[in-house]
Amino acid sequence: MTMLDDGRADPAATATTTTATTATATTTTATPATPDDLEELFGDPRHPGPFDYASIVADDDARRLSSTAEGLLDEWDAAAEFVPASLGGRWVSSEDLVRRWRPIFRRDPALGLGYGVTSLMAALNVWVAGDEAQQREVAARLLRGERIAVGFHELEHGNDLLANEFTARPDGDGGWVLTGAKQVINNVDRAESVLVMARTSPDPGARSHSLLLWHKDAATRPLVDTGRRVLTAGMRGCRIGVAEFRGLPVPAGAVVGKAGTAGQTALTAFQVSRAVIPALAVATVDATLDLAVRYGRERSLYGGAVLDLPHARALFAGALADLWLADALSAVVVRALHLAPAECLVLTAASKYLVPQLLQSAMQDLSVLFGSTFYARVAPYDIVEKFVRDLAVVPIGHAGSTACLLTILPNLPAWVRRSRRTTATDPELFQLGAPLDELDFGRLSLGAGSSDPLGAALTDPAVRAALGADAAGATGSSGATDVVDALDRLAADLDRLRTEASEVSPSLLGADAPPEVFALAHRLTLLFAGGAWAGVCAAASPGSVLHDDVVRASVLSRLEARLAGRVPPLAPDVVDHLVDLADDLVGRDIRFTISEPATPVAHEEGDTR
Amino acid sequence: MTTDAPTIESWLMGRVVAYGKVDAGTFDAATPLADLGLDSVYALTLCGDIEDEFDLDVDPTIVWDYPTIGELAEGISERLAAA
Repeated sequence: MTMLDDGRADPAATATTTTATTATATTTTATPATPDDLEELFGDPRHPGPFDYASIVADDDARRLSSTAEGLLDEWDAAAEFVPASLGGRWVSSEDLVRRWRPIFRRDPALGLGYGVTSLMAALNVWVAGDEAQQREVAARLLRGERIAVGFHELEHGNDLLANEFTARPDGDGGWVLTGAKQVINNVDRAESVLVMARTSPDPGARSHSLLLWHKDAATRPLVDTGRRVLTAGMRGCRIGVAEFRGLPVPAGAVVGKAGTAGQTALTAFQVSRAVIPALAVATVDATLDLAVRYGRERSLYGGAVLDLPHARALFAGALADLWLADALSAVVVRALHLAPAECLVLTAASKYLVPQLLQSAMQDLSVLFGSTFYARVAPYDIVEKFVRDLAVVPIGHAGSTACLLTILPNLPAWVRRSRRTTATDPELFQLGAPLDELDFGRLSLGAGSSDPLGAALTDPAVRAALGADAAGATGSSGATDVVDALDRLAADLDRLRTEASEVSPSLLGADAPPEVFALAHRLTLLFAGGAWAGVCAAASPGSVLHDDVVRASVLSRLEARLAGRVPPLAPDVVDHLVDLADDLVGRDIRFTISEPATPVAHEEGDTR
Repeated sequence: MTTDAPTIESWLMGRVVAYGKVDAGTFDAATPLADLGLDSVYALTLCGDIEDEFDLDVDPTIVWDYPTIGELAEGISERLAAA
């Protein structure tokens, strides 16, 4: 690809890329020789290997994805995780999907997005609204290693998708003709198919746009230019580009769902990606915390290790507490896709809004801990600088933080009614790792559902009883009392929020809502996170750090601080406890995430720590 | 409870006027809701009001499927009859 001086690809040199790229992707079949666990397949990234941190940083600098890693993922049939089992793939529990894909996000979030998450986001629309033939076709294509790009975005309109101007007009013969430009589209150049959102009626309103799936191998003339790349600060390895359609004909069968249903389908499909993507991003911060402990122990400053300095210790402990909260909320919301699908419009928007915010805050704190190693990019910790840039894209990509709050705002009055009538929660939501049935896309809705399962966790008697007892079942310890007191304060805040939200005029719940109304939605997401945390602590399996009262209280204390709008360092004795705990976990090669089994990470020999 | 479309229609017209975007008498049951300033936010508000008035949980897409007050009243009436 010829690059122009300003870094864009030369359209003239790449116009031919639109001619049919015949689908000849390698057909791969899972063989028993392929390890089930990507951790094992990839190897320890801290030690020299084909997909180690050093090579990931080098590839990032060169703005490319690791061809080795993409090859390994092909071999592992990674895209099969995105295809429902009923269509021949491996996707049953979405929690398993997250767990199995997290090793990618522990190493290279750009690979996660560039290799496959984009294809997941496109395919979701077909799982939601496609007919049987379309679903079978897309499943077959994904299973043989093809990609699908999501051609929704037009820079002019941002997340205001219904204002999009790209058009599909009837060709008079049942088919459609696509005209217009889609910008900042991941994989648009190399994907074998592109799902576009197009205006199919000039009328205002929500029934004027349709989704159309274009398979490039059906094109006979170069009517689309996908050659111009967009260079980004984060996710540099992703092939993000622009697609200009100049009257491309597509057949009647290209329309996914009925014509006019793009908004409805996309808003339903987004719920799954809004749940899954934050849960994947948690793994990147998990990896950074692991690196922070190792760095903090080996780097000497002022006559001691970095992790002996009170400021560094406090930064680390705060970041760890934030990770736990992010992990709890994102994991519970992923389970909710299966167990509380009617409530997921609001829950997934809350996760996609708050989790990236918590993760970025943690990364910001950790970047200070890494100090000059961070900004001068000193190996082997230079990967952290890339992680910070990559994660900065997460709150923007496909559903911006503000767009997520805008989803919540108009649902506030309905949430108040449902929250007031929900007195108990569903314990299954919080039993992380418990089996889930295949996702039923038809049960996701665009309404507010009928209950408030996460708010209810703050007052549910069973949750309170579990948190009031210590690991041995004894009640009344001072640690447990602190936890229950914090829960009571959050429950009182939930009550205040209901009152305040019920008093807001509907005219203030739209895109032009004032800051104080946005603040209500922000508080709601924090209270959902509190409910998720309380629920997972109450349901924790034996041996989990979630039984530790100091851990429980540290997260609730950070949460209360966020609700109050100011986040001071955790108390010194809490910091000491969390740093000791972290030292122990890293020493035993156990991850910080609470949503995965606490078993040592399988690493090959050569661990020289 | 009232389930006949004309009664529901006049109740809906009352709600729309109550939202303060249009004055009574400047529209009728055939005016598209979109022309009445009823964006997606008001669509959700209207769903909440329908829920409270008729004890009927409706998805906001009902406003997309029945884009005028007249059609919406028919739609609600049918759902109530079926419930």
